Amino acid sequence: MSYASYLIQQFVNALSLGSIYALVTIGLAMVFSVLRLINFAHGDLMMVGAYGILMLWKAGAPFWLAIVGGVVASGIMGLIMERFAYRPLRGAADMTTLLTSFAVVVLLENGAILVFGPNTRPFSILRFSVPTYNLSGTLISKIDLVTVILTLCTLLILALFIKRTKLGISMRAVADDLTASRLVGIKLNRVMVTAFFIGSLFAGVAGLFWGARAGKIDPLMGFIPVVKAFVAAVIGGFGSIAGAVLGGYVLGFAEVLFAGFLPPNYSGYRDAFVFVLLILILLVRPQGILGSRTRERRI
Amino acid sequence: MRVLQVKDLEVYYGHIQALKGVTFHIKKGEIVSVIGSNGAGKSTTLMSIAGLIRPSSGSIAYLEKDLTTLDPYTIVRSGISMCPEGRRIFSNLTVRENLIMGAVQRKDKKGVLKDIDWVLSLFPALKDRLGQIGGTLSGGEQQMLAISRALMNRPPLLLLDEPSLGLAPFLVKKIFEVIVNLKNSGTTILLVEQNAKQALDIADRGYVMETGYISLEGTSDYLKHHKKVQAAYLGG
Repeated sequence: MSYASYLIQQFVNALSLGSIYALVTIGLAMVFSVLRLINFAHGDLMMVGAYGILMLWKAGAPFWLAIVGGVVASGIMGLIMERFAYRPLRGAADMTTLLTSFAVVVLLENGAILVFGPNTRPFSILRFSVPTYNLSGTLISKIDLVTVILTLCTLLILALFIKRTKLGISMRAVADDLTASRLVGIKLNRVMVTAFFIGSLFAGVAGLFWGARAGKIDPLMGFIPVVKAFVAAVIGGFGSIAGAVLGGYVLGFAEVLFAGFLPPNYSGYRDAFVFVLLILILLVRPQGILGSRTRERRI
Repeated sequence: MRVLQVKDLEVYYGHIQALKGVTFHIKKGEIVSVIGSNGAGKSTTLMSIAGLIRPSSGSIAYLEKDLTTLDPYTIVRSGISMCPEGRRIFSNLTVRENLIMGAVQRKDKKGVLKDIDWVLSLFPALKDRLGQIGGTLSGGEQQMLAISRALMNRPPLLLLDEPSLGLAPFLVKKIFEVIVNLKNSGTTILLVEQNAKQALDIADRGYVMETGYISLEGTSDYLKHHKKVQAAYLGG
């Protein structure tokens, strides 16, 4: 295999990993920018989506229906979370909502262990019969390709939604100035529920790709990606949706770069290098790459 | 006819009483100015009317409908818009998006587009700025945008909180001209100002607020010539 095709493979690999991080981070950023809530349970929505897909598929649903159903299940779980865990705490101190989100993590993960069992399950819904394309010696995994293309499509739809629709503009208005949003007559509940729902749908899609990439899922699968998404959010600028996407891809590329190009003895330290990168970025731009230095505010 | 009737309004911030029984009214088509120094409770009064603050007692009625416990969006829908102190435009949204948010509850798309043209005719300086991000406007332009945004709801009653704050004199003049034009086309206006002279010049009636209560009221002419007002607010 030539060096060029090795580079191309790593590039596609990084794009695919970055896409997943971008999808998870968007949900975190959306919920944070509108509700000023750091939702640690966001990663578990990926798990709910992935299990939803697996269960539907096992029950005999066609694969596209299983995917749509699982993603919707993730969205619905997000709505339940908002309604019963976070809405009663609106206006509470940040620490209260943060701790609540840890409680939701424990509840969902243990609930999943109870219902689905603690074991890892094979997740082969996107494993196509021919897993790779062969372009004159360059092997590209179909799952990576599907991940990248579908992510770009969802990002495009999201961009149109937040730029063009009244609800999308309202969402940015609430993120910008909560008091002014109330004054012009925006219905806060509607905007907050929408942000939660869209963020959860994106987590469901990310759960699909994450499971497909690993080929397996388990009840604790959401932990690593949500931590990574926090890193991505901080890199890009917390609360900014464009920053979330950028941060996701920067993180994806950094990880693949470190894993692929560090001497073999050091590639185990991939994550350590990623966190060093995070520290370096924060030293130069404490607000993240696309973040702005705005005042803290509370709902 | 009384458009707005505020009765015995009391507001607390924690243990501190900001309003100690405020009573006043506005008649249809009037400009009513509320003047007073910093911390007198002027903004608190406006925010209570807009629904941002819940008073602990007293009542606010708009066209005989009780607003006292309603949410801001219900109050906006019933026809009251407020342009807050410090402008509070959406600084990451474009000028056009700010205006669209001002009409967020309206369903008539054509009417909204027409009213964007209407507010631009009031403030032609905004015309070339439609696609620009709000935070990049000058202070005067931001104030014009904040008033325009409030007008996008076509409110019969407009609440203005310190529209002259921090603006150059020629901009203050321009904004007060627009306020008078709005009155002449039928909008009822409640104007809160520290700039007492200019506020009384365009108002029909006025109220003077002091640390949480109304200490004086009357026609603008009466207030302008009142000794206390001259000494405390008109510089002489």
